[in-house]
Amino acid sequence: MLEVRDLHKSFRGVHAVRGVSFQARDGEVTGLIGPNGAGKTTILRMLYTVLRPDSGTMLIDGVDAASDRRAAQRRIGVLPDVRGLYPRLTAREHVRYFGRLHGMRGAELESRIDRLIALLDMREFADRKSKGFSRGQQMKVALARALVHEPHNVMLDEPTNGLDVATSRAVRQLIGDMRAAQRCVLFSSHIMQEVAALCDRIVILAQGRVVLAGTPDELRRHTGLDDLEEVFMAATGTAAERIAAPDSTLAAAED
Amino acid sequence: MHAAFVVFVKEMTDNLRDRRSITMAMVYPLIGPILLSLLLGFVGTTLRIDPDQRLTIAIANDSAAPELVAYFARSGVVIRSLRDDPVAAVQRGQVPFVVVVRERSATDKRLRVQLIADPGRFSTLVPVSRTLDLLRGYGRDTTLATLRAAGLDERAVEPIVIEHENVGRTLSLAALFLNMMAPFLMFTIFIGGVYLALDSTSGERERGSMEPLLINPVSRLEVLLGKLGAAYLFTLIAVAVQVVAFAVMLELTPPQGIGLVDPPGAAHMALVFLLCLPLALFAVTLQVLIAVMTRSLKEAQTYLGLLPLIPSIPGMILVFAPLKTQGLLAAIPTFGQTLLIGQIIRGDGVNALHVLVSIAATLIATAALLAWTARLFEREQAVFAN
Repeated sequence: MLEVRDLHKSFRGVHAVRGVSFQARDGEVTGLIGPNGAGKTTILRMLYTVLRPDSGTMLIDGVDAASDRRAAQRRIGVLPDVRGLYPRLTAREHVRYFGRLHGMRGAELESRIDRLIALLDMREFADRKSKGFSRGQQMKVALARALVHEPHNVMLDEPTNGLDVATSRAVRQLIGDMRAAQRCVLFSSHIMQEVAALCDRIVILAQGRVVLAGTPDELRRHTGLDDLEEVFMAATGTAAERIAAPDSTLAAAED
Repeated sequence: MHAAFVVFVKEMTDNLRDRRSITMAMVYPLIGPILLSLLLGFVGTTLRIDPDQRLTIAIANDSAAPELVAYFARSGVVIRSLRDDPVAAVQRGQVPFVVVVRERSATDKRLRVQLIADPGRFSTLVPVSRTLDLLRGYGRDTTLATLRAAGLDERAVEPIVIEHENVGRTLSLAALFLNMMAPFLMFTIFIGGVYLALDSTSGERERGSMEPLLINPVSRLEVLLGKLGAAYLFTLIAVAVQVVAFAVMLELTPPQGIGLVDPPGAAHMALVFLLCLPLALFAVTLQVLIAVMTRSLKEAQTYLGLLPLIPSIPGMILVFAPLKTQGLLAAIPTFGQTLLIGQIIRGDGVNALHVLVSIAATLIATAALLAWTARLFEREQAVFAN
């Protein structure tokens, strides 16, 4: 369970995140969607502890991520925007490195690595150095190392960005499996169809604010639009101001 | 500390697969010793005074001074009579130098000789100097013979007798070369692990792998210590390679040529390595500090490329005017070590207190740098390149 309350963040005078609040529940997939520059990556980076918010609260399974960074870090698995692999390490060594940093070792770690390699269909390149990996292969390595410690909460920044159809499908399948396992999945995307296909809840961001949030049905009902892409356009475009304040079941922008 | 060890092992694995890291640690340190041994070999063979080797002197117009030729012959010189133009012969390199006997003038019956040599040619320094000695000896012998014939005391014309005694353990030329070891070592200490220090901090940030790394539940200080440890080990490998190479070089160099009376032995080299241990830690901490402080890998590379020169320059100057360690000079990291290493290698011995002061002061300075680096490493800028 991830919870964000009234989060603010500025960079050199630019107010990038302006009072964002939302929840991502266990057993659900929550999608953060918004146009480029809406603040998706900044919010995720604060949640996964590499950026400090100027103000606001972030709770990860009830643990305050700002005051108890390491306890929060133990509960999350993260696929960052930049995959950041080491060209001279093999895929397996990447996963092993992060497993060890989580305090795993020995046979338990090795069998966990083997299972991830099988799950993500990485056998073919598992023992090859990552230099020259395709984007799909890079994403799989980054995903495997994010999941090595079996985190309860998973944050994925644009997981299908630049992937081919087959790999994108595999990622969507994996996200579905994690939901079935009662994990909490939060992922960001700027592709509405992907979010619509996967998410139990959608948080639409624009200019550092939550402009609309709820289940897909709630969003449709609220805007009176059938197509979620239309909902997205309406919420993030000039129509944003015309949408009435959402009711209390919806996390909303706090101006 | 488990996480620091995990990071250390990863960085070692990663960098042992990198040709650039290996080159910096294992090939660069050999350059100094190889350069020095080539110089020593060259100088040693050209300046060697071989008692068995006979001096050859080319003389032009030798028939004008038969008494001088006879003196040369008595002194064991091989005489070569030159008929060609002496200046052209030297310029062509046909002979290294020529003694030209001038015709005596009607008013001055003294013997006049002219020495034609090319001082740019290093190899002629020794034979020319021996020839000058012989010419002076001839003049002196002639004077003394004349004085004795006139019944005069030779002390009247030779009021000073010079005796020379060298109290150093080495002759000046050998000392000059031995003094170059300390600046070479300073350079190695600041270059041996630099590639790893940069690549694992600034490079990792630029490639975007710092972000996923720091999401792991480990303290940033531990991550920093793991990276520092790996850069430190690479630096120590570089220093060890160079110290051993210097020892081998001294073992192989013919000592008589450069006047190496008592070359430093294994115990001296071990003490040199001991002095380098804390300094190498200071060097890698400074490198990581600069890498974390600067905004990009390029910027860090610019500073770290120049950094090795700074501690080497004082040592380079001291090659020509060595100083002995005094008081708190030992406490200055890099400079203290340069002075102490110079003394150890020249065989002058060191004060144990100075060694302790140097080690303690360097460790204290390193701790301060580490505290500063750790603080900077907590910043958001440590994770993201922009």
